[in-house]
Amino acid sequence: MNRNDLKALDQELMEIREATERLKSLAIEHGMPAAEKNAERIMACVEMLSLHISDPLKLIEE
Amino acid sequence: MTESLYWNPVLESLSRADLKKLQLAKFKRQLHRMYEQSAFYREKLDQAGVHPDQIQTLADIRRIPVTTKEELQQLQSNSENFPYGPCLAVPTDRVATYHQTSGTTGKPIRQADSREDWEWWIECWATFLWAQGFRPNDRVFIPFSYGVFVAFWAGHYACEKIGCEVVAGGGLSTQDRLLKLQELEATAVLCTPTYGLHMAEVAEDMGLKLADFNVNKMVCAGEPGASIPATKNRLENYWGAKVFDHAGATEGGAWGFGCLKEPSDLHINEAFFLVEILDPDTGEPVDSGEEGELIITPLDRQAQPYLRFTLKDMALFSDEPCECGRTFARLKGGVLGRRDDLTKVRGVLFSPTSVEAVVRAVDQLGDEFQVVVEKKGVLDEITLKAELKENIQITPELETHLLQELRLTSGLRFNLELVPLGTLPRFEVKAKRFQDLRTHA
Ligand SMILES: [Zn+2]
Repeated sequence: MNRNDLKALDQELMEIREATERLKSLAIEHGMPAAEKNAERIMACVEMLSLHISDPLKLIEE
Repeated sequence: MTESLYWNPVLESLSRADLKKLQLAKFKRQLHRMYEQSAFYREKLDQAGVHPDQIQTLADIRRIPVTTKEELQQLQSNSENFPYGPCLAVPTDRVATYHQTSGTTGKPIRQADSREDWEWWIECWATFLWAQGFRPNDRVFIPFSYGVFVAFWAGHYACEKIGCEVVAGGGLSTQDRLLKLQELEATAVLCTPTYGLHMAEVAEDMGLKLADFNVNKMVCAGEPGASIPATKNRLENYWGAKVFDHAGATEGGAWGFGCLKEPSDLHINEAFFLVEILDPDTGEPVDSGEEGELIITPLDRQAQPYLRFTLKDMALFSDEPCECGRTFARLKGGVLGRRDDLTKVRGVLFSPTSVEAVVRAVDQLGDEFQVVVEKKGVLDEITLKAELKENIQITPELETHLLQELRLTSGLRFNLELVPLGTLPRFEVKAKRFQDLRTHA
């Protein structure tokens, strides 16, 4: 996997992160714990994806 | 598309130079986080006169004082911020799991992990289970008491994340666990090496042959046994399975693993941990091929983080490339023993774990043994108590061989007590095989 492949994965990940954050705020706003807590759970997985994808991409200078 | 041999092919095959860059960047990020969010670490760094901004190289890290188990025990013994004390670096409503250390060396440490930390534990386990060949078609049996000790909890969820079928083998007697293993035709087992041997002994009493079971791999954790060739051989022979070691601790996390190519060594997961291997006398890093003491910093843990935590384990460092293709450094022969287990007997530094390699390499001896040190007059006496397998007689040749091997390994002259099989105590989790009966003034 080259740097460009990693960038493509990271782009998808950013979109998931933003969408999950929006989902969580909407869930809080409308009072739906089921959506809020599942969104939190997705965020924990997003953090792991970030360790696997974003960290090697962004923390190692070219 | 062929299946990847690596859980994360990017991280596991970074060049050594890139791995070091990644570790430094992650360490700096973690240090800033700790300084801002943990009262304990801020005070510790302030007292040492070190600000996170001053850490710019891996060598700078050694300006930061180490953290010891005793410090954490002390911190948590105050009723302030019960139950975790000022170690906690997140609001209490972010704590998702509670675990504690076994307390074999003093008061147990209470450990908080957030939801993200718990995912991180699972990732660490998944990294090495994948390396050891765990795949979705495995049915994994986990015979441990699911309780306050972290032990195989994260292993359970990592198997689930990989897609294996997981069978929780808690709440059963050893006999019932064996029958369940046989009935379900499980393909893999996670347990301590002591328990792996104990199960083999019980199976034999029940007339069962473990090698005929379906188990083809076993991951051992909790004790260094699976890196000791003689113990590993015994386990592999009893179970007819490949045996892998894993290194981890409640405080440090799951940081080391044996791979398919060099299962007797431990790879350090250097993408998630900074493990310093330092000369205990000078505090400087050892070179490849040298032995040192392990200091660990998990680079991503947040709720109750650890900064340069002293594991007190000794190991032989190697950054030679591994045949498996991973660039992660290795500890040759695994963890060699705990520094605080080393004791002086007749003025000679002695490691009780060294005896295990001798006993387990002698075919006529059973799996259990004990080492007792006591004072006779002014002299230290050291005795090995070991069990003879059934229908084995004590012969002068056997005694001479054992005494010579012990002498070679430890430099000490032992007394021998060979007893019938089943005489010595059995352990189901971590074994206590060393007794020091000397009174220290
Ligand atoms: Zn390897």
